[in-house]
Amino acid sequence: MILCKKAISSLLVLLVAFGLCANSSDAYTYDDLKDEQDAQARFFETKVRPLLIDSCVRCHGDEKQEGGLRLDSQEAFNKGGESGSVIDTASMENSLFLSAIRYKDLEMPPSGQLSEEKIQILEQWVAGGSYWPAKTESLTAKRKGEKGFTDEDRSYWFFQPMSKHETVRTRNDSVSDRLDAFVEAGLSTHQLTFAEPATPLALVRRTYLDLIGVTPTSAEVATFLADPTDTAYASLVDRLLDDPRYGERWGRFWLDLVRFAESDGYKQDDFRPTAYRYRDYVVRSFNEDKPYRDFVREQLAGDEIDSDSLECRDASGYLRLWIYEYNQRDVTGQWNAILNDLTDVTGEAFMGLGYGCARCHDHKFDPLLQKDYFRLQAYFSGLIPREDLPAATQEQVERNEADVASWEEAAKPFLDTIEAIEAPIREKTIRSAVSKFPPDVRPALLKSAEQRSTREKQLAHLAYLQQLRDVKEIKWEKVLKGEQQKEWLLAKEYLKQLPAPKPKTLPVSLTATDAGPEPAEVYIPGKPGLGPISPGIPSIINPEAMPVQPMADHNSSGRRLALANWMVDRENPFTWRVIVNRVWQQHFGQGIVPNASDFGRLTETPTHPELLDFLASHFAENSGRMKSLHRWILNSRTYRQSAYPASTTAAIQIDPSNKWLWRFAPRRLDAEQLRDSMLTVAGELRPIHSGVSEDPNKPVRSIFVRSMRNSQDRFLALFDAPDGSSSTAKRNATTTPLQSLMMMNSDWVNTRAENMAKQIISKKSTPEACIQEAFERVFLKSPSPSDRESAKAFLGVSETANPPGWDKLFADYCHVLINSNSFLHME
Amino acid sequence: MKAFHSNPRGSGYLNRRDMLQQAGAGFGSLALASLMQQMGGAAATSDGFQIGPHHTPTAKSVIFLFMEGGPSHIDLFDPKPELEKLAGKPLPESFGPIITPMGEYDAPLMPSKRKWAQHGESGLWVSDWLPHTAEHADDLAVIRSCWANGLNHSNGVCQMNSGSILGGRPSLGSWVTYGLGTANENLPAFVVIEDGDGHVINGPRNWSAGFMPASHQGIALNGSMSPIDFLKTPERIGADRQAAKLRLLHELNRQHQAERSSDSELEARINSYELAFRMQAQAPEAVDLSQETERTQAMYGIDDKETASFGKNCLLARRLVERGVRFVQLYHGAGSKWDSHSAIEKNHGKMCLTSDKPVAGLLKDLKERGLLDSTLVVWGGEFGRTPMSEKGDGRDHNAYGFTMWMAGGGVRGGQTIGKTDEIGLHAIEDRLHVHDLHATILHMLGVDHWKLVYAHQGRPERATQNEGNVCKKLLKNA
Repeated sequence: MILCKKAISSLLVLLVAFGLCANSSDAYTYDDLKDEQDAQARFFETKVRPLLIDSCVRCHGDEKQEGGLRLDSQEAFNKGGESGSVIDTASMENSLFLSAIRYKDLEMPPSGQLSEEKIQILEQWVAGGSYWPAKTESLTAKRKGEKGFTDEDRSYWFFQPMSKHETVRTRNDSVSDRLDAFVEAGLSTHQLTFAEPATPLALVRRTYLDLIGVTPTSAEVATFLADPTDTAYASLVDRLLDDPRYGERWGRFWLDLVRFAESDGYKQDDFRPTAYRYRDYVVRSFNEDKPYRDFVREQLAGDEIDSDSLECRDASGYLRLWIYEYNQRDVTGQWNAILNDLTDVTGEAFMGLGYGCARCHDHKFDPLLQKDYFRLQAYFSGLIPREDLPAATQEQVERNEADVASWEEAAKPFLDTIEAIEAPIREKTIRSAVSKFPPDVRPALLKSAEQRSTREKQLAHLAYLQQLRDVKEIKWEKVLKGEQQKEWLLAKEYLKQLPAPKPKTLPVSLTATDAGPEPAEVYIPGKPGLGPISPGIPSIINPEAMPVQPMADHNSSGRRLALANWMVDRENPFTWRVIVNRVWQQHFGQGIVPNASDFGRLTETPTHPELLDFLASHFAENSGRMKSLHRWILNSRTYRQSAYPASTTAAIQIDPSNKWLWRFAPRRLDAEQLRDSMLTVAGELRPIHSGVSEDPNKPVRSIFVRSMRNSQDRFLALFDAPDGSSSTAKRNATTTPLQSLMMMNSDWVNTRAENMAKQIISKKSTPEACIQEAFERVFLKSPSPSDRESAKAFLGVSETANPPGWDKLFADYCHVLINSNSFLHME
Repeated sequence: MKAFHSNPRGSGYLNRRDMLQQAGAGFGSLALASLMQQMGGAAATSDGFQIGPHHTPTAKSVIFLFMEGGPSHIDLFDPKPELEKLAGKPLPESFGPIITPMGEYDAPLMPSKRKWAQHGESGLWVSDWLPHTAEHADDLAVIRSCWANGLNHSNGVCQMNSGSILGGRPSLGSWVTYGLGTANENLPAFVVIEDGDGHVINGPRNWSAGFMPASHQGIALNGSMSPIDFLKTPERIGADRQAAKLRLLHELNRQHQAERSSDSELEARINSYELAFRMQAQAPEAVDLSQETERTQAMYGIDDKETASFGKNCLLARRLVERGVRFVQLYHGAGSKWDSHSAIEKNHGKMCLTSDKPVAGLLKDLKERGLLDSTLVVWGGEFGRTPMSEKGDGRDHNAYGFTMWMAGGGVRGGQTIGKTDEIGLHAIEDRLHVHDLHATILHMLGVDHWKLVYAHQGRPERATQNEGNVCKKLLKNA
């Protein structure tokens, strides 16, 4: 028995590890085996069941019944399929089941014949009377049936409410002190202690880079160093949190998470001219310290909160960040892909759950059902992309409408002429484009808007964008002939000559709303038999459908708002932990939970679970004010430790990866910190804080650089900035020779060095003064005598002689400084 | 596998696992991964999965000849006499509903205008559009039953590279460098070469490392003057000054590190600058075709203006695999130039003419040098083309069934695998999905596609998205 268990468990491990069986390997428990202690049962459980699951029931089970046959229960097995009984009790040899696996008449499984050994196992089983264990209803009876979650599943920490641990009372009882107490407890358990505080210089540079994303100027450092008060650091933190550059730094990590980019991402990779508005919304929200609860609600359901608010409309840009292929005729597949993408990102970014794994099957490690995936998707099933909502305030819209109306009054006769000529041709173009779409969607395209179901509206919308493209491509001058052409040209000419020019059309928001109060029905692909799936949260928390009242007054299903409201409930076990852990990860380089977007069993257990809950519940009670969270963390002793403590030998042995935070984790600057800091030391960073994106060659902060999915800026890409195709919870931080080549040889970096040199030389007269200034800009301290000497030797200058041309070499000197490890890393 | 950023370890006391983690995070340290593999066979990641090799490989390198835009299998390798009978008729209903991107649903079936013959001892069918390739019939395993999910070029090319029609996953070459490291640390392990002045649809995303560290991305070569971006020292600086700058940089870095001696990441950065400059020295030699004899150049058609462009790239590919580059991807017709919605005769005539001799030259040259046994050559596009016509004389995309071939590197040549239906629309026998192709390519390199796992956000990700089977029929020693 013991041996047998072992064999089973290793088999299980194998099957799970190699993902061979989706829902099935865990279909029985050891307890079942105890009841069935005879040889037949053992043979069935160890040999036959895995084989049937692995090779047969994928096509002959609860999901598919090829040939009307199921092979996943005794009853079904005995019943047979369309070709009749699979077992011939009179002559086992002639049983269809055996001849099929022998490839005699049928060839099963079709993907390739079973090995001789496997065939013999099944033959032996049939010959022995095809034993089935009495208890087995179905071979793949799900452990994770809605009511069948295991105790282990239910007790998993992430599904529990946040604990209200009160830690030991500390000296002044501030959140930061209590945070330290949690960390200190972890340290002392492992015979570790805090490192000494970082030097003021290291700390000020760290804090600038961390909070506002650029290196400080030497004047800013001097201000901080000159403040002798106890509150100097706390005031620095306050100052930086009030700086508009804070949002430009911290908005970026949110944009990574929601895979923000400003282009379609497919063949055409069309630029999205108003996508920047979502970026601005994010930056602004951070700067205004918008409560996280509002931030979440506005992105998921801005339109359902306030359909007239431009802020909400910009926020709902979240619903439009998916990649889009302008010429995809398979609009059904395209819409499904869009919804899947939105489901994946929402599950990961807001809820910290690996929903993506459950799209095709129940999650193999976590109690997330495939059904849960579509329950989450159902919240978005009413969605429709909008191309008709202006990116303008109500006032601007009204003014524009008035302008247009008065212009149209003057233009009416000519507009009417043009319309009369163009309308039939446009109609025809749109109609004839219908035949380019798959036959099953054509009927929907031919219906009027009112006749269409929500699903049909969604598909028709995608098709319409393509039809519209055809219309835009009409070359009117060529299409129109004779009289008609003359008339058309003349009308166009008159329009041009009107006293007032045509008012500009307002820019269009990249946003989405529901198509109406009635959402489309959601089905699990390939399992229409399960019926439409209602919206709901993970079944392990609540298997019931979430009751949602349609919002008739908003012409909306209300589903997304219902989801958002559930998410921002103070007691929600996911939301607050997930966001607090993300912020922690940004500050410390690693989260309390290592996988910031998947808190399931695939991540390591949290290092400081009580601390996480303590911060998360405080944060929730504070409605999710980010700036408070930053203050709690930055003012802690934990954050202010040195990165390179004097004595590390013991700590390195005990905790080489610094899990317990015995020092501050030094790290390479990320792509934006590096690019923006280079522009800072070169003295050329242009201070813009919002608006339309710029070319990468412009000296603006990286968050304002146009982000095209298919042609990402080389510099940012090589330093691991994400390209916006999927949600990124944590950047890679690579060290490659290609980066070094780019840092040394690229025009962009060399130009920064040249501009820095020029600017310094224009202000300072002697080589010594220039060296001093360059060194201070980059390293924020005075050069030592030996630094001065090697710089002078490099430039070929001395006390007595400054040979001509040293100023050209000076750019090279600056270039070396911005290539140095000290500049490229923070500590 | 975690990046430096996430797991700052300042120790210098690296255990095997740490070393491997770092190896994955740095191109410069990739050699370390190879070293670890030499030391202890297959190496394990922190998650207990093995990075490669998992078994004895039959190929050391791959040259993937990507005919971008979709070559017509039914005009090249998969003759369909039945089409003659059905010429001009609409697609019979028995073939089921299909979606074609251009949506000419009722377009009549169009037979091939090619002359077909059997070649070599194996009697492989090849049309008269590829006479040179046909000479190598006995080396080719022609797979007539490939299928994919991408309807359009962008998702088709994306899938042929990454397994998925959606972006964001690592390219096959990235998986290979992740699994096997590099055999020449002075050259990139995964190289991409586009032909002419075209650009592959979706651009560099096709050879991106997806969610893996950027060090696994493919490096696009862009002509022999500066084959790798930023490889050349700017002229106004020159070699001497560059050397002086590096000396000063080294001095600054050493001084900085003296107080931080425990930080291996700082060390890695210093090494990466040194490695960068070894690349500067070696890469130009690797791509210098003038070192090749006239006879070799002629073999690739470099002496003929029609074939010179792709011929050079094919020759370059041989030089790279000779020097240990793992994965070379050559695009022919970069920018969907094999796409032939109309006038397929003219289009394919030209595309075949400009690629046939270079491809045949590559096979011949590899064979003569004894490299074909260790180099897997793969030929194909993102899909094939429909038996139905489009615009009268063209063909639309067909991902339901199309042909690719493989040669060398442990492939059993001189055989045809799989079948499409009688008109070449659907693959019907021995169907090979892109995942199966990828699994098979990895297998030949000694990598088990089930065992090669990258932990992304804690989840086990595989090159074939937990699908795909190795096609045993392709292998010489199955």
